[in-house]
Amino acid sequence: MSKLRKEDILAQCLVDIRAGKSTLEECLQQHPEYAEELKSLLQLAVGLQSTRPARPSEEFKRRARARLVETMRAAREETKLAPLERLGVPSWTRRLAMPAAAAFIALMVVVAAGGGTIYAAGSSLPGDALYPVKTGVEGVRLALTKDAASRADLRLEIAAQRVQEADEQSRRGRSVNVRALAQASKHMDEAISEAGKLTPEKAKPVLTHLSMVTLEQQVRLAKDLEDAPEADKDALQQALDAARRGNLIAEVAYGNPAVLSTSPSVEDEGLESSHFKVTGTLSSVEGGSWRIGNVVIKDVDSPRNIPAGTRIAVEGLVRDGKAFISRAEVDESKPDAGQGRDDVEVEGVFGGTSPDNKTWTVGGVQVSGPSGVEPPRGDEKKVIKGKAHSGGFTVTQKEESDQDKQAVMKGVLVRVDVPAGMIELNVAGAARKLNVSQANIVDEDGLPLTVGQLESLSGKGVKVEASGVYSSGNVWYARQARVDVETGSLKAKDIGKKHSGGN
Amino acid sequence: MVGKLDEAAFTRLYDEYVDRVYGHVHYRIGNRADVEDITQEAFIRAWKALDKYKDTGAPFVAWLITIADNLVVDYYRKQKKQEVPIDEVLEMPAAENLEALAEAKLDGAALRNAVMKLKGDKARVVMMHFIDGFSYEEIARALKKSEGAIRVIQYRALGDLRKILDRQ
Repeated sequence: MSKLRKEDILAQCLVDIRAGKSTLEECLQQHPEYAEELKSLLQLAVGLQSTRPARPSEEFKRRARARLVETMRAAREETKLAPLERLGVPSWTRRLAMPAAAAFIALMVVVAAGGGTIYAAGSSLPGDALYPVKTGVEGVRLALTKDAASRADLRLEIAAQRVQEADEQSRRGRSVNVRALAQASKHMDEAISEAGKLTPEKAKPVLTHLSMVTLEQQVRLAKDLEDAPEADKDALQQALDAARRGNLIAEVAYGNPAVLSTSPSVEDEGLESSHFKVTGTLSSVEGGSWRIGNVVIKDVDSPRNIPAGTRIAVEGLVRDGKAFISRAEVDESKPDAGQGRDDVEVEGVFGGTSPDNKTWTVGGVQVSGPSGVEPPRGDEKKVIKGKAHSGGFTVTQKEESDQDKQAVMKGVLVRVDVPAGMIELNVAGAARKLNVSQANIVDEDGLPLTVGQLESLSGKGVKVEASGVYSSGNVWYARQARVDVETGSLKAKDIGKKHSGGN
Repeated sequence: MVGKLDEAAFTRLYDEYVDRVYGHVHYRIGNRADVEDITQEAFIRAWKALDKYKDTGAPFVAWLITIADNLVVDYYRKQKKQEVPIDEVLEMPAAENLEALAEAKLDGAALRNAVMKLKGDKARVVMMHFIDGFSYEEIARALKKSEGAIRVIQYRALGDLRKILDRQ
């Protein structure tokens, strides 16, 4: 056994003892081969760990604080009185004739501002002198915020800050600070964890906030990624993936807050693979499992009871073996000509097959009898769309997962302003305006749509995959928008023919 | 430019970290009046030197403690004396660990005096982990080493401490 092994054991024992998970004796018992050697070192370490450093008196803290404040104030006054010295202007320039001195000073001011050596802490970026002040203040604010909802909101503000900083670094042509950007994911996960401590009603505003923050992040990061140097792409892509997962968590948890009990994480790369959509007739509800045609959703947690025999469109996330239904709508639409009401539509990331290849896992749910196409191989992450009927399942579409696309916005289409080319979505409780007047709009098959055609979808759940997105005020603009209807299929050829003159 | 907002921010950092900086300096010096002077001066120097700070990913307080450490070195240099043994530094260990200390025939003051005899990274790692309360990850970032290397240094430092105590 190597020396390192003992060193790691000692370190782990110390962590466990400090956390109260283990006593010194229990640690030694777990590692009898090193017990003798570790014992005296652990005794020493535990003795050191028990040290409680002295604390300053309150009187001293007040006095020292006052002195610090006075020093800072005096330094500020000095800056006002002697800006030249603060800017590093050599004293000899003050002997120059006024116009020459003024020109030199102006140059120095421009250099100082352009060089970006001094920024106010609030607008500082990773690597700046004042950046640790900024993050330090964030830490203090978090420590002082006791209410879980407020702490979650603060975490989300900080997560948004980290992405804005990366965005600013990109725009200034600086390298993105990977470590700082990765903090965005950590803060989002902490916010999700805090939301899990709240009642469903109190969690919803936090989830709306998470949805807005992650949508904003997607727009910024997708744009940054387009222009980023190769060295920054991995970090930006990871942050973009985390933002998409954060948005998915917000959307699912808004519909079913119970999913928060499973501690979903924006860093969980398998999250999207457990997201499913199924449209069909609920043929049976037994023992917590739903059967929709030949699709079986096991251990269902649904905020809404739906009787068997109802034609529904459901969406949810499978976590820890349980299917959390986030959206369950009774589908009132008439079946398309030539299709029976037992048709089932399934969408999700392909997750593998049973050993006999007769059952596929799609979006975390089981689909029996797939046919018509070979299952994806290896690490391919494909979204499978298919229709099932009469005991068979036919894959109609395989495509790359959302991870390879741009910003994804999902919500209920609440308004379409045809003359302005504007659509408005309610995304997890928040209104989002997307201007598509200049966009190339297509349906799920890639066929062109007009804004006028979208009007007929008002009130329905839609997914908009937008690229070339930028924002101005509270409106987003897209150059390309692909629109899917969440309940039933959207085909340009079938809808809104009366609006075909729009856009 | 550094403005009132940053002064307010830095004051909040002072509120957050003054106890840790004070505790660190007190462990090394023990003389309350001098500890107060050095702690106060550390924050003033940090403010004045903010534009020299380089973010290494280590906690900001690690930088404050480094500044305080330099002041402690100056202090001993001016006093023209070595760091001296003191008996008043430590408060009582937690009750659950008294047994371990007793079995190891240790007392807090003897342990502190032995720590003061450690050199270089061994002294830094022991101080940062056990006295200042930094995690291995934070120490690794501050000292620009891997966490594995920090665990190795800690192991060796504890071995050295054992030898120093056995000689006393």
